Amino acid sequence: MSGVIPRLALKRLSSHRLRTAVTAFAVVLTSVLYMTVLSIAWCIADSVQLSRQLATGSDFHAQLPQSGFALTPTELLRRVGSSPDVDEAYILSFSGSFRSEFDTDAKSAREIVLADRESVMKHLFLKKTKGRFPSAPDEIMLCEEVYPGLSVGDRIGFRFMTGEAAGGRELELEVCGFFVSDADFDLNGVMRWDETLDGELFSGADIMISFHSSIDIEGQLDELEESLSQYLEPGGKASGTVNYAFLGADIRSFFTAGNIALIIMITAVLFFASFLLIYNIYSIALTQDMRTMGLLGVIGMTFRQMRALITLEGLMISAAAIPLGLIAGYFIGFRALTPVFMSMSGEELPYRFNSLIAVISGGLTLFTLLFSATRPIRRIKKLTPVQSVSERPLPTKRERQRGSMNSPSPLKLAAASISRSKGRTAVTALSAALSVLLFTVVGAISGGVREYILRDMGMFDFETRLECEVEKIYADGRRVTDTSRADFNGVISRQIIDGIEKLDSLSEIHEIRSAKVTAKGSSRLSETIRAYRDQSSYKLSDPLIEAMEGSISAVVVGVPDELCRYIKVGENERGEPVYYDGSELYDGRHVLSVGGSISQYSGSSGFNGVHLYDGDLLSSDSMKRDYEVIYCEVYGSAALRRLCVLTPDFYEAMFILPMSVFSEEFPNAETVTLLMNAKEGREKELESEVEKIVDGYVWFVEPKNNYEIRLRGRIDEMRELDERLTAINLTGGVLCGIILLIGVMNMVNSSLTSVIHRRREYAMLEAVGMTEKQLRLMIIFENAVGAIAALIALTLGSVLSRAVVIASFGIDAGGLSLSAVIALAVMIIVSAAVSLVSFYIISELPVTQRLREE
Amino acid sequence: MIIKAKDLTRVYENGAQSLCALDSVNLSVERGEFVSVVGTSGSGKSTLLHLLGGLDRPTRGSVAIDGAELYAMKPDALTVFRRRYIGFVFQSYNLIPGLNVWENVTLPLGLDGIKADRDETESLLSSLGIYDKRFSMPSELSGGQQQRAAIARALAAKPHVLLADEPTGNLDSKTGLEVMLLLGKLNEELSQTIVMITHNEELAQMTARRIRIEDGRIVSDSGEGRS
Repeated sequence: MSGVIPRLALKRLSSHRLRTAVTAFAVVLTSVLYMTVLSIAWCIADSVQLSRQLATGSDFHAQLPQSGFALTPTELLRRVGSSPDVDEAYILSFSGSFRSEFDTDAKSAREIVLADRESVMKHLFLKKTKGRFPSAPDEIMLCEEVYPGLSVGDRIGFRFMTGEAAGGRELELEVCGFFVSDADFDLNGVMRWDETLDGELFSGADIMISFHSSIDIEGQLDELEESLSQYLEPGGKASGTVNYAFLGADIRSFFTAGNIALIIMITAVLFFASFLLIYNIYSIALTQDMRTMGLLGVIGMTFRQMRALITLEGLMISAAAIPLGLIAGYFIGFRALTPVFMSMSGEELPYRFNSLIAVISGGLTLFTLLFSATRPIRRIKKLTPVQSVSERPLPTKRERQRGSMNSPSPLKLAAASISRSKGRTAVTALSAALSVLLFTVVGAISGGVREYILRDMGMFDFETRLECEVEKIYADGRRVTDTSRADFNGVISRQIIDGIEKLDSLSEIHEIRSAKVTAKGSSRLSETIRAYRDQSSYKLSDPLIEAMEGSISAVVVGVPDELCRYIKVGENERGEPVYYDGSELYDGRHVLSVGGSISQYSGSSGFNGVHLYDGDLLSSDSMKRDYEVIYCEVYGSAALRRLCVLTPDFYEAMFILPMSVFSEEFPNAETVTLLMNAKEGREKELESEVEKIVDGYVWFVEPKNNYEIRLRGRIDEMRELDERLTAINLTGGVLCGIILLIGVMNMVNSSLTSVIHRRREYAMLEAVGMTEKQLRLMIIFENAVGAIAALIALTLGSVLSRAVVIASFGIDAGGLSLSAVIALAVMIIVSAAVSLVSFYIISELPVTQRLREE
Repeated sequence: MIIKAKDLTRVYENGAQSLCALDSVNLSVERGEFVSVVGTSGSGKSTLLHLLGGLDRPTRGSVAIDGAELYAMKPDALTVFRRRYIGFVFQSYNLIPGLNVWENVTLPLGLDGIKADRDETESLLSSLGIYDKRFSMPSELSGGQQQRAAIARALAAKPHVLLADEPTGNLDSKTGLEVMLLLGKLNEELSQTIVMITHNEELAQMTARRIRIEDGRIVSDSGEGRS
């Protein structure tokens, strides 16, 4: 490219300052739009991935058990590590264990990790705080939070529950250091892996693998297993598992037709909105320059040079505007909107910025700008030099003959002028329609979400439950209190109940009671657990063994009779809750079995199949009679969801009786939950009075488990719902607002540039007798296109959104969105204002002067 | 012979209608000639000039400049040929807005990757009487000054042929005469080949050879015998 092209590009940009500024502003706006959407999308994906990794306790891509291979773990590690796809590989083993001196209950067992090197710790989200990594198999590094009273050098006894020794094996270990864990995964400690311990303390080593790429881990693992198949034992099988915490892990299964269609749709809407803005502004600017470009062609500028000139101008505008847009997008999209969006679930999710967001946003903006120039460039290519020096207007599409002999009205003249510039009109109309349509969609989603959540919201203003406060620590160091861990251990004293019952602001109060029993299992349950044991690589926990052998720990919950019709027993095909509506439950011979779970040593996941089924009997030595089981396919917490917002943790098995039956069976059972409604308008009063009564009541204390009374309920749920909806509306509103701004800019730009270029035409109309009033009317008609398109979009969008929400959720949340109506009003006002300004621009010069204009 | 047009025909199609703007024109111009083409409005004189300069494409026929067949060239090659060998002057000046006189004049050279010789450009602008206006923008110039700038731009690349389309059409008679004298001077002193379109008979009389065109055909040529 000769030096004259850059100089010419600079000259042209500086001599058309207003046009350059408007284009630059469009580029800034587009960058902000891309940056905002990408920031939110990226942070959601990143946060989901990080949260999943913290939940699973590691950031390895996959693990390959040594079992099945005719190689030692060390030999297998060497083979795996030499694969070109593998970035890092380590030996790791897990063993369920508990401290034999204090933890007599095997349920308190947590994992001990055996690792072959210290660098594994960072992959397990462990941070060393004191001492050192174990150097010998008889040393252990302990979790500081689990063992706060111990020091480096202390000796500690552990019973290991996996491995070959029946009933586990005890080992005395020396404490060599401490760590803290960021993962949501409770670990006792870390030991040094040693081949001599294999089979004795743990049931085999795994090779933990990180590939070079996080994409398609399944495929990479399959290939690795295939390459290692020659080392399998006769009849052995490689049984590697993928860590699905990685979003790219099962990327193949992510790209279903539906997901692809959704991504294409969102991308298309975004690109379309941005493209409309830049295309309209930039292409109109270039089209205005068509004669100049033709002239440059006459004096010897080749088409290639013209294309280089236009591209360079685009790059120059981008060089200044994109960084500005990215900075604005960083503050609007990432700093302001992303936190709002990330707190939408009610929990503040971790999120972090990645420079890739800016790179992709900038790239997309540049692409949109350059893509917008392609059509004018094509037109320039078609333009012959003679057309640009001709005194005749530049060629447009040939107009069809019309047989009309009526004298044209302002409306007809406006229609004729609109049809002459169909492309520009279409862009303006589409842009205006899109912005209003998006507001409608966001409004429908927000309304749908609200109604959907309201459908399953708690029935009571307030409820109390004793709840254990648990602290979660995120990788970035933030500590968040998780108050969801409630179980049936907390007893609310009679003194508290009496105190609340006396309150004047109270309208109604109900008690939920519970009793723990050891019930007889069933042959079906035993078979289910046996099948689970046979396919699990871990030993069964003691409670599971007991359940398999016919004895289950259970909780029976007493629910006031009048509330039993709100016990959830399933969901219909639309996801709506189905409540128990039978009569057998009240006959004193039936009980609802709503499921349960028994945790395993192997971590947070438990075995969820602890049920008695239809035909089984709930029978216990501590109960006066046996009850026929009515089986429901829900877990205990879900069954009571409508009644208790503070849903309890899974118990081993949970049964529900109406209070009339329950009281006879368990006359001394304790109250675990109080359900309250306030008198109308006195919710706040009741809340503060109940808080005063329960304040300071602690039922049970141990280092990590302080059971305190929590007060929650529908009022809190509504508050949280409103916060979530605010987040949706705010984020959606800003995005739609940017697109609305794009629509407005398109409308203003199209109208004003059109008017300026047609001043002579308007003067001719005036010269032949068009009055000012008629001219004004004609301009109003011409500029009404955007507003009419917006009105159509609002009407159709509202009807369609409503239909989609009803079809998807069975909810009629109403179709008309207030924000969409406001957006339409903005369009109408802008349309009117543009008409006035246009008229001013036209009438500012006398007719004679305008007639002389080229 | 510097220009040779053979069987030059241009038909404009407009749906079912067609208009023959130029009909089988044969024309030769010798190096150093100053030729004027006269005719009424719509006679085809501008079409002839555009085709001679490679600005349009003929429906039939050929044009050779210095032996190079214009319409055998690809579009970009024709553009490059035009900027090196043909200069244009238009009635409406057609200076590039946003560029000053100096930049307008040196632009064709710049597009060819050639740095304009400062002395030569200054001398050219001086000879055309617009040296003082070299940094002025087109909008700051009078019609005559703009046309002089356009002539300077046309001559900057030292073209073999200068084609002028009604160069005095937008000028008052005094300024028009000045521009005409200037073209005559260029022809005499530099032996610049010039083909000029005009509808002004008086100005046409100032040229050595006059061609009259009507309904797309040459009806008279004072240099007949050479075409």
